[in-house]
Amino acid sequence: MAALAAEGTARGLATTRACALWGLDAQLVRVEVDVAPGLPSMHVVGLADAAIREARERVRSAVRNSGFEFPLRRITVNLAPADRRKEGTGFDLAIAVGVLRASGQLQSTADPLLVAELALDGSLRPVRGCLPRVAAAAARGVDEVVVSRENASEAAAVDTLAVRAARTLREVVAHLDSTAPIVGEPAAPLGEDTSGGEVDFADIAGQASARRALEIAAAGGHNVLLVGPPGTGKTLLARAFPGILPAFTPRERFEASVVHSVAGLLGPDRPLLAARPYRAPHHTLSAYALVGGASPPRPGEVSLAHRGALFLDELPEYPAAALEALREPLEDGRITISRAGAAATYPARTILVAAMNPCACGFFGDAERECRCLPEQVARYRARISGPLLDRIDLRVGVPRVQAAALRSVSAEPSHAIRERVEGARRAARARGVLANAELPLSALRRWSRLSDQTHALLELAVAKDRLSSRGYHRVIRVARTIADLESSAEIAELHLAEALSLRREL
Amino acid sequence: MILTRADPSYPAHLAQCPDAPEALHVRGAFVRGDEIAVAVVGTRSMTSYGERVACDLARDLALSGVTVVSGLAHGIDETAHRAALDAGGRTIAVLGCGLAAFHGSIARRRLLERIATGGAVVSEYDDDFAGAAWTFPVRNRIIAGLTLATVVVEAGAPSGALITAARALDYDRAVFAVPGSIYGAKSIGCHRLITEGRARLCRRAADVLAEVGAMLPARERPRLPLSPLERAVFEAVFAEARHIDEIARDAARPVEEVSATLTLLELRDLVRGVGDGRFVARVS
Repeated sequence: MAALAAEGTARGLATTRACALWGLDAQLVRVEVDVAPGLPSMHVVGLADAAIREARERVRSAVRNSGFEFPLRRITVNLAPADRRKEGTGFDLAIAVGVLRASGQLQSTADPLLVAELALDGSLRPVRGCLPRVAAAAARGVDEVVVSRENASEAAAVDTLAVRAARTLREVVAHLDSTAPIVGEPAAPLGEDTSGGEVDFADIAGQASARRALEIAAAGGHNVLLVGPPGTGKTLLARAFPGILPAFTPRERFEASVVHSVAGLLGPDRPLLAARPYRAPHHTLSAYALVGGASPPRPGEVSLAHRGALFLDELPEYPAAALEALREPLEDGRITISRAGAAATYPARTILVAAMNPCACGFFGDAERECRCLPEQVARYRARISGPLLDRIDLRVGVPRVQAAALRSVSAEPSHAIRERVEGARRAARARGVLANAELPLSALRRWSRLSDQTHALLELAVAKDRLSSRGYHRVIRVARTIADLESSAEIAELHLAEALSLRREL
Repeated sequence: MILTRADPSYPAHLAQCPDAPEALHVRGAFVRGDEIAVAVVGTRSMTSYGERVACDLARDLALSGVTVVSGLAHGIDETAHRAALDAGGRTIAVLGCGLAAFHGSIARRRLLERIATGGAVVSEYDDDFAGAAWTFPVRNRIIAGLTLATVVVEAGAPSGALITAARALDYDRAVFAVPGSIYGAKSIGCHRLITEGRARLCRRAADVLAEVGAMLPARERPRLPLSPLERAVFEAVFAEARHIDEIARDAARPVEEVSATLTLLELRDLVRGVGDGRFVARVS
């Protein structure tokens, strides 16, 4: 594998390993470098995008400025497999090391995964998506990876291979030819799960039905919509929501971190997410920013909220295109973005917590303030949430203004007590092979949702009364399953289903 | 069906009016009890305040056994009809065109069919008469004539509802007006009726019932096979719409039980959701 480069006319051929990324799907790439006699030039082939073709200039300068010689011959770089489009700057280091090998300046058979961008002075820069690349390499038996210092702790989250963090190309070469081996990066400790709301439910008075709906949402991974006049505490309830989500398991933490890695949101100070993601994008965002897109594709907010919660305040104010684009991820828990020549699938298993005013002025149905909207305006305002989108929001609750008397009354239940019940329901879901009931596939749902005769009759009645769409039929059973789980009931009783139906009420 | 003034089932109160129509075309039927009727009328371009008032008034009147009469126009009229029907009560619509020539919105044509089965739709015109600008004010005298009292919910400065109120005064019937914002254009007519002493102030159905209620037979709450919790929840929403949270707090029961119970009652057509977590009883 090591190259030999006799003076003058001899050919040099070398290979190194890099990793390409499509969405979250990482695949090892062979970087083949051929240094042959001919006019000095450098070509990159193998469906490389503009950023990779520009690697020529970075590699040339980095090699020279690191004190090596850049061969004045005809250099061809091939990225295999050559039939899949590749993008990004993560191939710089692999190409540079390949050039040094093919030109005989590096004699070593070590073949680690090389993932870094090069600066013109030869120093290493971090790349987006380091975590999924390293994880994929480890899964395919690679036992060593070289990354930039900035990516070190992120890469070290994968503990089945040795992570070498280097500052410069020189350090990488010194490590490879064993003149100055780099010590393996210690495995990154997972650290505390710092999940928790900034607001505790103990501090929220009244709002019994909203609290109940959020508990069910957390327990079963169902989406929830809070409807009420301004100032009734919708935002407060939503901010308290993360505090009742179940503990962040290592698997979920890895999944969520991978998305953040691809979006370039991890760093040396934050190698892995410490808490379940809670995304609250403003309503001025575009459809691309919400569900992902652009070219090359990037994950959107709904994917960044994977395994956490996505809070959309003032739901009708979001662009219609953005709201409609939410349908697929809310239904399937993932989103596929197709662009010319590139398709990427991102996970999007999140809990949507949405809030809205009952009308444009906000006071429709408010006992204390007068609503200034015409009835058609109220209907139009609500129609901004389309039927298909609403169909995917299983829990819809009115959040009324709390009377002063209720504000003073009983002390409310704290978040940790609610969270305990949520954990119980999640344990029941795990016994069925999913993390939450919202993910139960139909076959499993049938198997795990035995309905008593009475419950079944109620369901039939609801269908006969036009209260359920065919999508709603199964979704309401999932919610009823969660409600039964909160009571540790194996069977779905009539009241469980009735409550699920109640929460599915039209706006 | 055509009722002439000589017909014994011709509405008695209307028959007392000097300018009552010689014949009434009727779809549906007048029943005993329809003589205890109240008109709920108002502007076509209502505010949501007006909608709420019309809805609450018509519902509470219907729940008390009063027949709600109106003109099946956009806005207050249709809201009043609908609320009365939804509460399981009686309602009568008086058209300004022939019974077969009603060309309102699809929603109101559907409503017309509901009224024809759960009440009566009447007109003094031949079935295929299309109506004209002058026929609608003229039919307002029938609305006034059929009823013991007229409630104007929202009315601008010139308004058909004010014509109904004027006819009601002509016939010596009670007139009520609902106050609104002093800054809004939709309550100018109501405020004028009140300041000129021609209408009494109406805040809720009870104000009207004080006038006509004495004529009502005592009504019994329905005896239904209900569990204690169902009974408690049903009673809590019997008189007025309330939020789930309130019901649960007053009954000292967990909100999930109350929520589930309301749905069970709703599926049995005993209560109805009025939006954003509030419910009210239906009676049949």
